[in-house]
Amino acid sequence: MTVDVQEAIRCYHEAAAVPKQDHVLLVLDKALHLFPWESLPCLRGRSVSRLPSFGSLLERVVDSPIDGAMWPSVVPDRGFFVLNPDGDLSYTQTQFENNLLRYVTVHHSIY
Amino acid sequence: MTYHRQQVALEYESKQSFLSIKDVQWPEQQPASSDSSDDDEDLTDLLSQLKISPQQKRNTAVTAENLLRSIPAGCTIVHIHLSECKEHFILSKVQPQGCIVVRLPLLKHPPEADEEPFTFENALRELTEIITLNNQTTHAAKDIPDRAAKEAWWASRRELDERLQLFLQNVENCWIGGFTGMFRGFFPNDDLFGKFRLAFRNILVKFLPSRKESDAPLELDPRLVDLFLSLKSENPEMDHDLADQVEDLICFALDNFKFHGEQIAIDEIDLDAVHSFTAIG
Repeated sequence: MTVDVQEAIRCYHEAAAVPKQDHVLLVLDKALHLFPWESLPCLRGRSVSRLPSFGSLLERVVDSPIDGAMWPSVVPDRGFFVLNPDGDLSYTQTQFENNLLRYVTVHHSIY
Repeated sequence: MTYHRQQVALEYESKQSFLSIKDVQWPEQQPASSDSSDDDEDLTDLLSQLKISPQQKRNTAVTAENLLRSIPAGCTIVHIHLSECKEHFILSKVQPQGCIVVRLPLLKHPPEADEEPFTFENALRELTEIITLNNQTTHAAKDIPDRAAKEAWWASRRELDERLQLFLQNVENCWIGGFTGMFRGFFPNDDLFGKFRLAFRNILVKFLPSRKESDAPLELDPRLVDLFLSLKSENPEMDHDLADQVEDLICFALDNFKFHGEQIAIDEIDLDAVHSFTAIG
């Protein structure tokens, strides 16, 4: 039975177009926040974010001034990053510095 | 309920303006060359805006309709809830086109005599230990005297890495099992989907010994069928795991039919025997 079902699944995917991967919003029980759900093999490499409750989703999406369900826009200039605060991670700094500076130009601390 | 608690917490924090600003302020010894004073002012501004005044409060009630309407396109909400006794997950997937809720036992089989069951408590202990060890080794990194110690340090880091990897695999295999489809959107309900649903029903009917020709046709919930479609092999080496996952989901489906009045003796269906039967056939 397992083999037959697997075969049927395979046939479906052969014929179907590769589906677009959705963004996943995790709403977690307070006991589960510690777990790195985003790193589970089935979620690795996918686009995932967390929200504390359904109410907070409504607040962010419905009550935002934009009509219809849309993502609230993010202004990169309001972001902030700290890179290499102890000054001992020069390799990490070279690796991330330029990428981060592309988005956040104003507020940052690089040591 | 959760939302209201968060609101209360936020309001409380926003009133503790002294504390919250202090928490995010930079230590005084920062380099004089940076534009630190501007940053501080901006931060203070930002924090004062965060204060929740009654006018800014949400006025949309948390109802199912509002919630479904508010899901942005191309987005799937996955809610994971741990039952009070910490033995079950209640997993729900919410999308504008539909929802599905499943209750999964954390331990699917009684544990063998010599193995430690992957219960919630055990998992939490393991994860906490990994995090603690990770923090300890990270902080110890600056005090490593020589090359030999450095190698030992790297070995311990790699070991921790592997431990976390094993932990994550256990979470997925033991707890989520065949239900990885809960973490992705629904497949489009098109002709191809209908075809798969039919093929799947035929397989079930073929292997259910208790079903007779005269019985009413087996009703398959499309949301259940959808879960099977996520079990696609990306990597042929993992096929063994995949067979386990498919089996997991078949058992769930059979249980589900039984609950809805279908006469099934699950013990009579030997999934492995069926396995070899199809291999010969």
